[in-house]
Parts: sequence; C-alpha cells; structure tokens
Amino acid sequence: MRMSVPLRRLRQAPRHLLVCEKSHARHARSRHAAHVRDHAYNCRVSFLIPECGILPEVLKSTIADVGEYYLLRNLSLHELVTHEFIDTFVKKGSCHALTYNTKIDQDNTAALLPTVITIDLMDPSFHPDSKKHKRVLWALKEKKPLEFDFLLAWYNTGAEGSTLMSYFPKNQIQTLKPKITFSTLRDLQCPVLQSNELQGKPEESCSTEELFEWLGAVLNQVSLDNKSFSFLSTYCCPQPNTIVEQAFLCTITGFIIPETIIQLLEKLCCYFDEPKLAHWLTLTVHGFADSPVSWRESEHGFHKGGENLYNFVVFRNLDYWLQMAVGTNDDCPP
Amino acid sequence: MRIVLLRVSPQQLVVTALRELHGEVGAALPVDVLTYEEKTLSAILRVTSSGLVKLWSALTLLGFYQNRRCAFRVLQTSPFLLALSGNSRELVLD
Repeated sequence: MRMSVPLRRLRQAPRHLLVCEKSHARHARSRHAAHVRDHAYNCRVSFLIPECGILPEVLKSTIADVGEYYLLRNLSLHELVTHEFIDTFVKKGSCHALTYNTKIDQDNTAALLPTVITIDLMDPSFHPDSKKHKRVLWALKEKKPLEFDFLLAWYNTGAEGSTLMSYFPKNQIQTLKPKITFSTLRDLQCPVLQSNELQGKPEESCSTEELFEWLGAVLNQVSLDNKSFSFLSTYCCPQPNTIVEQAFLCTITGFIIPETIIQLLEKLCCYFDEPKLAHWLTLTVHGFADSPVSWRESEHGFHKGGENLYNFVVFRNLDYWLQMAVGTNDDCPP
Repeated sequence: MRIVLLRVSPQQLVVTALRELHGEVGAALPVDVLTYEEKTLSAILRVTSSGLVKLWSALTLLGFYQNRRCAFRVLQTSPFLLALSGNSRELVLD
C-alpha cells in the first residue's frame, strides 16, 4: 500500500548533519586548531572533566583572561568599511562582529569575519581612492543606510594604538564580560569510551553518537537513570558506563572568539600532562543560531533550528574525537 | 484577570494533545519528557524524527486542557539534545 503524499509529509523531518573525526592533539597534521579558528561566532563554551571537583590549576589563568566583548548600538554598516576602521582594527589583529538580535530567517544580518570577507577589506585594490571602495561606500550609505546593533570582539596581536572604547562614542559602545559559571556534578554516570572505537564496541565502549547524546543529557540536566517502564522518560545513560563521584562543569556564555577557545583546548590537553583519574574530558562549543556562516564561509541558516556546534572529546593519551553538527540550511562542516 | 497555574502532568498533557489532533494512533506515539520545570512551566520532549510534525502540530493546536485555556510555545527544536543547552536567541546581555 502506498502512503499518500500528505501522510508521508507528516513523517518527514528536516535534515541535519553530524560528522566526527578522530586524530591526536600533538600530531603535526591535526586540524583541531584550524577547525576552532574557522568557527568564528561562538555564544557558549562548556567543558566537563570527570573525576574532578574544582577548576584545575592549569586552567585558572585562561579562565581569568577570557576577553571582553562589546555591544555597539545603532552602528551604520558602512562604518565597518571605512579605512580608519580597517587600518586601526582589521589589519592589527582579528576582528569579529555579528549583528545582535537579528533573526537570520526574518531580518537582515551582517557579520565581519577576521579573514576573507565578502567585501575583502584587505584587498590592496580597496584603497580609499579606488572605484571599488567608493562604490561599496555608496551602496552602504545611499538610500536608507543599514544600521544594526553589533556584538564585536577584537583580538589584538600586540599592536599599540586605539582601542574600541576610544574609537566609538561613549554612548554607543558598552563593554561586556562573558558570564562564567562552575558546578560540580555528583555521582555521574559516564559512558566508557575507547578512542579508537568510534562506533563503540559491544560490552566494551560507547559510540560517538551515544556520547554526543549523553553529553546533551548532562548539560540539560536530564535524568540518566530512567527505567524502561518509566511513564515519563525512557532515556538512560548508554552502556557500558561507570559512576564517577564528581565531575567539574564550567560554562562560558557571551561572544567568545576562537582564540580563547584554542587556548582553552590547549590547557585542557595540558590537564593530562600529569596522571589523572579521568579517562577523557569534553569541550563543547555552540555557535550563534543567527550567524550567516558556520565554518569559514560555509552558509548557515535557520530552518527549524539554528544549530551549529562542535564537541571535542580529549582522551588521556591526547587522542581526540571532534564532532561537528549543523542543521538543515547549512553546508556540510569541513 | 486571575491566572491559575495547575499542577499538570506533562506526560498527560502531551498524550491529550496528540489524541485530540491525531486520534488514538497519534496518542500512542512514544514521547519522552526528558525534563520538566514547574517554575517556568517548560519541558524538554524527545520524539522520533518521524513523529516531530505530529507532536509539534498537536501541541500548537491544543487550546484547552481540563476546561482551561492553554497555549504551547516551542522555544527550540533540534535533532541534537546537546544543541538545546545553548540557544543564542535567549542570550541575555547585562
């Protein structure tokens, strides 16, 4: 019997992608830093360390140094392509900007990438007197100039000079610090994992997908101990698993640049320099739902959701799994 | 206007919604209530991807429960439970 078209549509769900790669953090060709660097707009970073009760010493300075970001109100888009802005910020570090409170499936959205951008501000032919520059400025200024609230962060590569606070009028710019929370989870069921068994091994280890779902359960405070006959929920921790007495969870929320995440990842790898009870730890990064790009310039959209996130599982021996997930209107992650 | 908050069984709510729109077969759709927070009246539900449209439509169109008006708002959906722990659309800046 063939199902009629309307009934078939009732059972369709939007497509999504979850890719996983495995490598070693000290391998010369490991692309872990490149993948982090290419994912420009991050709103939430969490790391979970089993068998750990407090913030490890090796991470203290990185957490203390998590950089500020800025909220710029009513900024005209053409201000980001003026030569003064380019020379002061774009060329002297990496500058990230993303429109704030714009929904990519409804509103205009703009973003400034630190590397190549749609209007290439680093292009030598884009000098103040060139036709190209004049045309771009005209397009952005003429008729109704586009104005947005922007979230902005600037990673200064050490050059002296102006700061964002002194560049923009005081009533237009506000400094914000990412919110950081810590918690210690008690008696946590954790999946047993083997770094070279991505599909899991029956009775011996869990798969990458099971780990990904388990981590979602932990970060959403879902009970891991439901029985199969439970009326409410049948979700339970994948098998095999062990119970750890404590696990440390840290969450950073705000406008977080890739450079911060790279430093965090490096320090999490250093955590295993000394012997530890933990067999693995995780670092999870959520992208902005309304970012126009996911990795590099891969298009990102919002169909029923705006997910673009990635998760590292770093093992004691510094093998790692990297899982990257995107939604429907997205190109495949690199 | 006085608003009365009921002690509701989230599972019962979901089954009722499914039955009203999709009948007995719809009501048999397995749905997990992964979390339920009474303070905010919010929950995380889990359903197979083939049941997403049925569940979403049933909840959206449920206007009354136990003779009282109600409304469901879907805040976020994702095939990844992990994605639900970070929603930039709810980002609050100080």
